[in-house]
Amino acid sequence: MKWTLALFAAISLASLTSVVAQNQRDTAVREDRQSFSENESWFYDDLDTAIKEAQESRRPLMIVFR
Amino acid sequence: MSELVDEFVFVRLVKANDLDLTLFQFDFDLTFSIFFMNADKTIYGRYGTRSSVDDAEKHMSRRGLAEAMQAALKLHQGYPANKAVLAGKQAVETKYPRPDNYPSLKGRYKKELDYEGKVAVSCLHCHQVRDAARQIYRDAGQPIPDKLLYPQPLPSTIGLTLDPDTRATVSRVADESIAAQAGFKTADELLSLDGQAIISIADLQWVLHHAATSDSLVAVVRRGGKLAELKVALPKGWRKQTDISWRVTSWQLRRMGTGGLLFEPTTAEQRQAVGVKTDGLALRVKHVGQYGAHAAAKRAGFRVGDIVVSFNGHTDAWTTSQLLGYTAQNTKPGQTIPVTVMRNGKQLQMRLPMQK
Repeated sequence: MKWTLALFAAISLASLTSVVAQNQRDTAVREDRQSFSENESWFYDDLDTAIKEAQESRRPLMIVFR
Repeated sequence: MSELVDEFVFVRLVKANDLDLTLFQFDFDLTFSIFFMNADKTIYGRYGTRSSVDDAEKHMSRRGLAEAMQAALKLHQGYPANKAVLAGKQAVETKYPRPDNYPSLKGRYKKELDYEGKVAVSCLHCHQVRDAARQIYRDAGQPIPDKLLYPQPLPSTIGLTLDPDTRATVSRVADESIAAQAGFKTADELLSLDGQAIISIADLQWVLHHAATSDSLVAVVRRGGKLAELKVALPKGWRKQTDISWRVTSWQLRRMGTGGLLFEPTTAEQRQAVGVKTDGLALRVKHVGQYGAHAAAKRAGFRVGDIVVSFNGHTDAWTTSQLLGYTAQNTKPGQTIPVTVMRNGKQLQMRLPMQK
């Protein structure tokens, strides 16, 4: 559940960030990093490590751009 | 969806500053996009579609994403035996492997974000990649090519509507459309197009994006438990039917071709008031840019409420998308073109500068 909440928070932020003020955007980006960094299910902005994990676990990657 | 959580390695990428464009090619106007990929960097599919400014999630849903994830998982389980249906999904060769290789982006952004400072402005946004690609042509005084100007065509371009709660199931076929002529029917489940496995609306857009100016594509659909093969004939000019006016990259197109004017369609009453028929040009100025190159129209005398009835001699009932497309392919920076507007019941002859 925590995983799906993180993903759909990302979707919602996608539309939100286009309208909030600059300083709010800075805060949103920092909070976003904090939130995802604390979530063990996600590799935050680190594709190389995620690829190694995918190789070892033989799982596919799901890469989210936002 | 929770049952799928253990099946994938999840990655979140937040910037395009040093994006590998030899691998990641997608709809750069999106604010949310997903790749499904093998560890050897073979792409299984893409997810994420948008068609308007206001409704960013119209084509996306949890159920639809879950179906795309399940389909990606199946492709992963069948890999590498299924390489043939994945071949067309891979990135194509590019002259610009990183955003920094584009002349207009060179040296402007560092590889990493400045989390301690103004982090948002330190981020190179995905849409800037498309802006930069178009700028090369504009700076050279050349028409922006169709594929770059009308990217990732929506299914509606060929008359299809796909149910966002599904992987790729047809929910509507427009009358007399390309899809109707191909024989698509409501409830068809699109399995492949042009030989590529389709796991989302974005996958369909990827196929259309790489289709030729006029083309013929084979679609395989599941209909009533049986497979059917349909031939999708794309006539010359098909791509221009897609709407680009909602895209964030239309901001730069407006600078180039409208001097910062933002248009909106006119109502029947407004058309009647200025004496323009339904098949005539009548775009109302909704906003006039106020600063820099986006204020070129303001400096030329344009105002909010003006109704454009002739643009460089053209009086066809263009949409904003069509007008932007015209300027990007038929004008050059440095030109000044005649524009006729209606204002307070009077017809005014204006001159609008075309810009880089």
